[in-house]
Amino acid sequence: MFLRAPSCLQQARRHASARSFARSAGLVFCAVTAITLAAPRAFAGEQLPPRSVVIIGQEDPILPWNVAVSTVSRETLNVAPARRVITYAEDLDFTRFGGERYKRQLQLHFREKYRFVPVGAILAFGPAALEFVLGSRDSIWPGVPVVFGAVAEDTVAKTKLPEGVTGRTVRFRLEDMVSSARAVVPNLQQLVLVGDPFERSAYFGNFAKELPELSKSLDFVNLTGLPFADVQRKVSQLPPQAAIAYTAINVDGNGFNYFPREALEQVAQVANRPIVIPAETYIGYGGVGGMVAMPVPIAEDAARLVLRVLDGESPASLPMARGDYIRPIFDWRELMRWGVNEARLPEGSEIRYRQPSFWEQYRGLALGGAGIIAVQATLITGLILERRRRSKAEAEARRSLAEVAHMNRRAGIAALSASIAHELNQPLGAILSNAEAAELLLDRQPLDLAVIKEVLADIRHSDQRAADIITHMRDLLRKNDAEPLEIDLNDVIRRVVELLTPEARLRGISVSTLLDPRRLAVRANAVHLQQVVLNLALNGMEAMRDTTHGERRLTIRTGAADDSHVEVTVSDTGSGLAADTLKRVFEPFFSTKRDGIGLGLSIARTIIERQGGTISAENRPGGGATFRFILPSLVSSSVPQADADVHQMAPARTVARAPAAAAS
Amino acid sequence: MPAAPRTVAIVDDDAELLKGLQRLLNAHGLGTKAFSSAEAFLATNSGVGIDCVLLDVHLGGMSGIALRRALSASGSRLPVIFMTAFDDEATRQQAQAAGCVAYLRKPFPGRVLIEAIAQAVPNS
Repeated sequence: MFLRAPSCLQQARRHASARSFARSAGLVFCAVTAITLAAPRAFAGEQLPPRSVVIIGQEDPILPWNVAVSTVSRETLNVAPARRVITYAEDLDFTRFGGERYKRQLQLHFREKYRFVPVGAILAFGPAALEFVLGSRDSIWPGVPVVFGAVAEDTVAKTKLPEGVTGRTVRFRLEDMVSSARAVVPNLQQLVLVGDPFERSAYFGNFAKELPELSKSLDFVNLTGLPFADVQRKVSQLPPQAAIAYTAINVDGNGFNYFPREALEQVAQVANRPIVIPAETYIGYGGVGGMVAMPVPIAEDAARLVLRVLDGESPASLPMARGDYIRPIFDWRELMRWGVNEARLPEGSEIRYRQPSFWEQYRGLALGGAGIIAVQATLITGLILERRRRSKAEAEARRSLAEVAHMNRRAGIAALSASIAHELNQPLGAILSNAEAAELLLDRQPLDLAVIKEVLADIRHSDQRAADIITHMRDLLRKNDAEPLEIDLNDVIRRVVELLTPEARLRGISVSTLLDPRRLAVRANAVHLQQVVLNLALNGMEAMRDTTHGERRLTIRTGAADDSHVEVTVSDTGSGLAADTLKRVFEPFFSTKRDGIGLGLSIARTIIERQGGTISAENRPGGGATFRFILPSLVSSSVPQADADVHQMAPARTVARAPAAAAS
Repeated sequence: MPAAPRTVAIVDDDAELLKGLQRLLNAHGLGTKAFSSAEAFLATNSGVGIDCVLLDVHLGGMSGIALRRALSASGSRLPVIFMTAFDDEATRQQAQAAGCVAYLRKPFPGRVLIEAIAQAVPNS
């Protein structure tokens, strides 16, 4: 009906108002002649109720709660601009004004004020507003439907609701404040109640009824109704395992008026214990938080009910119900101030005012980095396992040595996958613990930046350690057909031992190395040589499966074989090799292992022979086996070399070398 | 407020992790004593002044499981929380058979650790 001129909506609205004015004026005229006031119900049967609503609040209109409720309910009523609802607001300030005389005057006033206004519904927020509306409806708005919100269910449970009244109740419970306080203060011993006396309180009247039951398990100190100065003094001297429950101070014991949220701030300034609060509008004003009532959904739900009534549904078909308006919300700054563990908060708690600090930027980096590493590790392990399944078939295809060797390296890594995960989890664990510790340290006063810096440095170091493991593995997994270079055999061993140690520990094997203190230079492909040593070592470790726990020893030794050759031996304390095995051990596809492929040692032989060396196996006199390979040395092995393994003075011409772990 | 801070012994052969865990527990207001091996723990008459042991399973030398068994054998009632960087069912079964309040897989969030300690040492 308002669609005539969409470009001049204003005009259309004015027109609509004029029409409804004329209609009501006519009605009233009829009503006057008919002695009784016309009930709008009379025409509700034929057409829809007029689209105007009186919103009645019970408090000072500028209270934040009230502002939220009335703004949101008006917005919700007007979600469809084409079907506009005219709203009138009446905030009755029952907290400060009361008594029968005040109510009678309001009734007279409203009757005059709304004499010519066709009202389709009354929307009442709060128990006192509802009580007033129910007591006054017959004389002001007879038969007009009433919808209410923000009324505790206990309040409406007491009164039998007349016809044409429905709404949504909310659960304000002292019990909720107790549970919030328990979440905030472990081993809570005492809850200190601050606010208006319950018998005068608009929303928290039923707290008094809950007290006897709750007092059985908790000590309550009731400071409600005291002069404000006394409250301030008492909340500053509370014992350690106490918390404060603040409801609202509108008027203190001396009769002074307060703005409840400002009173909360002033209490918080001097309180020596955390304050739990019952309403969302208090969050950010010194309370730690709690199970808080949310004005926005309260207003939205009630306004939506009004819309349904205006659209012709009978309130009788819209039964009263309890709304879900209580949410656990906490102020991060207060949680930090009181050292509250977030894990103790109720499930689904929302934390507000979480302050991004310089640390949080680092945390993103550190944890992000750790995440990437974890993902990489998973991917690599996954690939390895995938490849391993296929490796038997692929081996039979007899690809080139490089191809098979590469596959064998992957299999070697797969054998180590559990220990590689272990090696990554250690620095990841250190990173996480340090990161969490730093978060907590950032809340200490005074801030100890030196310690925090130290923690960050440690995080960086652990991260580097994890990254090194990945790099290390990737080197070994890369297809490597590079030209042979001059390398130190001792470096090769160190690398492999680093990789093996965790796996050896897992299997209860002690690994010892006896490295020649001199540099043992050979011309070889470093990755291929690492592979040889890895194969020999894994073979030895496998052979010690049945060895008694304390006697599993793997020894890797390097040294000069003669003037022009260097050698590496890998010895185990396993079962040794049977005579026929000894002859065939380097043959392809020979394996004594149930699930072995039988390529590891044959690849080792191929690699060594390609570099002009030899490889052999023998049983040790005391049990176990020794594998040995010999390679031509590149320079005379008599040149001494300062090394980490022998702490001797470095000769002047020694070139500084990076530690094995950092070399790529 | 608890009368005296609870003290947790941490046994792990990884120095970085040891330091991180110490910091974390200290930041939570708990006392700590750090040991780099099971042997070191046993050597320092370790039960004294300790409320709970946070014990790595795979230590170099004597294992965490062996230490747990040694403690039980000597009549100690110290609650033990095992931790490990290995994701391995056999290890878990061994740890549980040896007896523990909790079994944590590294890396674990501090929350989980603090909850385990709270369980091990009521009123901590």
